Amino acid sequence: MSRAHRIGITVSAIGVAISTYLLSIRIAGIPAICGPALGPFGGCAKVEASVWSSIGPIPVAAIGVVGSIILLAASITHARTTREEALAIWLFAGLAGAAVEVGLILIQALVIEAWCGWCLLYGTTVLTSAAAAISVSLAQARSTRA
Amino acid sequence: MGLIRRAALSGIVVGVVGVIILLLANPFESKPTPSMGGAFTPLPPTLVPAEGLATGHGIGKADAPVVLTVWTDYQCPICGAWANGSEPALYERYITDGSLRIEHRHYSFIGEESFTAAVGAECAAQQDLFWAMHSRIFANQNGENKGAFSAERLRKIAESAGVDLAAWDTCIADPTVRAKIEADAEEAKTLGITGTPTLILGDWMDSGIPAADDLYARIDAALGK
Repeated sequence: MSRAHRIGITVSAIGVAISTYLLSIRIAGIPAICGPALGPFGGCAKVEASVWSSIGPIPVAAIGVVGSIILLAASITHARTTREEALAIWLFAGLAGAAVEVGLILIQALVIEAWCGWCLLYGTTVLTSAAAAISVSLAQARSTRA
Repeated sequence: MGLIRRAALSGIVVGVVGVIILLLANPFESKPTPSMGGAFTPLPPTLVPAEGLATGHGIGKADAPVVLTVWTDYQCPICGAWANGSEPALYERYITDGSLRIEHRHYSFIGEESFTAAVGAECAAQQDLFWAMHSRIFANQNGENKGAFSAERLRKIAESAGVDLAAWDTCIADPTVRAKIEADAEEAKTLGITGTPTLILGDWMDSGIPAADDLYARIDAALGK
């Protein structure tokens, strides 16, 4: 198992935990543990309350849970089997998630004008997992050429 | 590596499309409302204002020196926490002594049930029972777009609020009431409101539930304390 695999698996597991937490508090209707103590990143309530916290009836956190589970499963599968299909799924989910996360970060910065520390931490796990998938893909391409 | 290249490209495309869907906001909100099965007995409201304190679309004396305007969506869980937790505390602290009035406005966006619940509340308002309906709707929140505010359940909530059901039935079928709710949502957007609950007190506006001490300090300042 390469270093990129270990990083991808670790951050995806953290992503599953964070998104599950955000989804559970959304369902329970309680604010996140996130407030002035987190300084500029304490705007979770404002971000959670925004129209961009869901797509129609689907909370964005629920999409995050599914996405991170896919990233975790694909990265573990590729680490164990080196199957190209697993890497393709990892790369697909990682890049799709990364694009969405960049969009969500821009929405927090430019539209909501508040930073949710948990959301940013989750976004970091997705971006890191995508970077790990790219790294593994490039390494595999180099070894194929050699 | 053809598969990997295709996966990378389609991943980026799907991600960009996802962001566009998010920005276009709630494209699935016109889905029909499912019905939530089982017998339903509406829960009582958390806050029952004293006689004469629930008037129009708010609670508190009409000539209260400070007015807090609150924009909510009936399906928003944080709005539920506001209505069932924060408002009763404000009621005890500021409304009973006539210092504060809370005015409610609709910003419905989560889904179809947000709109039907708001229509139900507006139709109760036509019978001077807005707050009785409004507080019961929040007391009976149960998930989002899962049928908590289906037509049959809203009717039971209306009945428990004491509305004349015959007049209420006629009212909820009136498209102009729905148009008013949609106009409220447009007004919210015009004001720069991006989520619910959004509180407005004088020049101050914020989304979410503020820390109680911060909110009390703002109200005290507005009262000149």
